[in-house]
Amino acid sequence: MAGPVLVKVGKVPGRVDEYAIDGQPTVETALKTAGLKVGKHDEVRVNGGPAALDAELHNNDVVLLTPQVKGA
Amino acid sequence: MSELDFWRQLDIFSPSQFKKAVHVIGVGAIGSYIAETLAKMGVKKIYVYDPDVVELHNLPNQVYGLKDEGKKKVEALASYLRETCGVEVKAADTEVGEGKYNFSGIIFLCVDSMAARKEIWDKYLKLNINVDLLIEVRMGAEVGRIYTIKPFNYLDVKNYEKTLYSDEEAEESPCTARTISSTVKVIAGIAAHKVTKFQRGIPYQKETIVSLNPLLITTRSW
Repeated sequence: MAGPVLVKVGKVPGRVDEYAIDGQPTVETALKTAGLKVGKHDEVRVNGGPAALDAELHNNDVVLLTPQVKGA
Repeated sequence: MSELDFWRQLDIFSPSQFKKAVHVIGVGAIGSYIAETLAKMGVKKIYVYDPDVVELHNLPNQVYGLKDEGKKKVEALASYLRETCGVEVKAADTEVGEGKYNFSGIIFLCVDSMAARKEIWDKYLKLNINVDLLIEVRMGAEVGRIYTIKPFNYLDVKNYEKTLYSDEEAEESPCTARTISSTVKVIAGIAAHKVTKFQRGIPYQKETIVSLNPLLITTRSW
């Protein structure tokens, strides 16, 4: 039987932590595990690319909430 | 008058072999430091555009000094770069979106709203075969985004336009948590360094997201 999936989850600016999640985690379950909600100015990224909340995660994936910034 | 001696960087960026014009549209925080970095790197043909004047709240995170208060940013910047680097910058103190320009070479787009980015992209840059590279920079207090694309490349155009969210969709930080010099200099340095990669023919990432808290850089291409 496969063990938990190790993923890093976080929000920038903020913090990123590693979690071991049982079963087949999705982006949504990973964010919930980390206690994060997608804010209205956030983009969800997995390993740098845009991702849907129902995307499945694998070992060593990095889930980030990144703000849509506009300043200069 | 003496000139800067670039021999310690020649294998990274050679000013004598770089003939392109570089335009910096918007010389607030990011744009002013990008222009300064380009001049320090030895870029000779620098054009800067900004209608704003220097205000005291600009001084902590932009290159301007106390003596520049009330001056046009582009004039203060031109004077500063002439004194520090011996570079004669061409300056336009107008809104680019309202003008008529023929851009070529490398463009740094550093304006402070998504609406202005879209306007300038649509009017001057999209599918412009004379523009070799667009480097578009966005910044929050501790996060920056840098897009580096060829405006005449179909894939670049298609994917870049997907990143042009609206001003309403963008984060509006509190006035006291909007910008700080340390973030500005990191983002400006990464953005300006892309000119050295361009000259050396090194592949560059299309999107770079930089976080200073926690320290993290993610990139992607398409």
